[in-house]
Amino acid sequence: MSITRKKNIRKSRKKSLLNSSKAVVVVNTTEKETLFPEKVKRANEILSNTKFSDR
Amino acid sequence: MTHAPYSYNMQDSQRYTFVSTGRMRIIKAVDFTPLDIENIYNLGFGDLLPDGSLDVTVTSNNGDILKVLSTVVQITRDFTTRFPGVEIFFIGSTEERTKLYARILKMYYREFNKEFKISGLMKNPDSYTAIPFEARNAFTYFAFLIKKIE
Repeated sequence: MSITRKKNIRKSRKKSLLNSSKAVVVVNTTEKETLFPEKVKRANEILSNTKFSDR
Repeated sequence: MTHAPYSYNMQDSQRYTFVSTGRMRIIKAVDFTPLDIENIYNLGFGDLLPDGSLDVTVTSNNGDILKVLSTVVQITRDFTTRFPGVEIFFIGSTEERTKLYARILKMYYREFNKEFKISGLMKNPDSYTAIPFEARNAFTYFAFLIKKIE
């Protein structure tokens, strides 16, 4: 099999994989892991129990 | 603040680093993380240790605390300018550290007050109340929220 033919088969497989439902990858670009998970957890706990006098 | 800040690097839109060059060379990381309440971000700040982990409780005693805090203020200014409308929540990792933040807010209140709306969280028996910050009560607050005035 020629190199060009092999390349075309690879491209075609890649395309088919990208179109397949199994290949769907959800990438969340807005949220990432925090460097301070414990502080974030504590902040959420505090704020969930906070009354805002001006809101 | 009167102390010139260190220059800093923005790792991405929510993470910054800078190097404290006091007695030792210490890499500091500042991280803004969105919280469960919309438009409120947690300000996390700590020392990047040689093994890649972070220490939020360490007292470096690097002899440059005011310059370090001035840099954190500058970074917060940068973040809130790029994301207007967000509010920043912060609390010390220890009671002593929260008192240090209160002392800075009190000391530079006139300057900060022109630029930020500052709130203090009061601790009640089983809840908290966020009220407008008053310099004379600086040491009674449990945590703080600041928002850039647009």
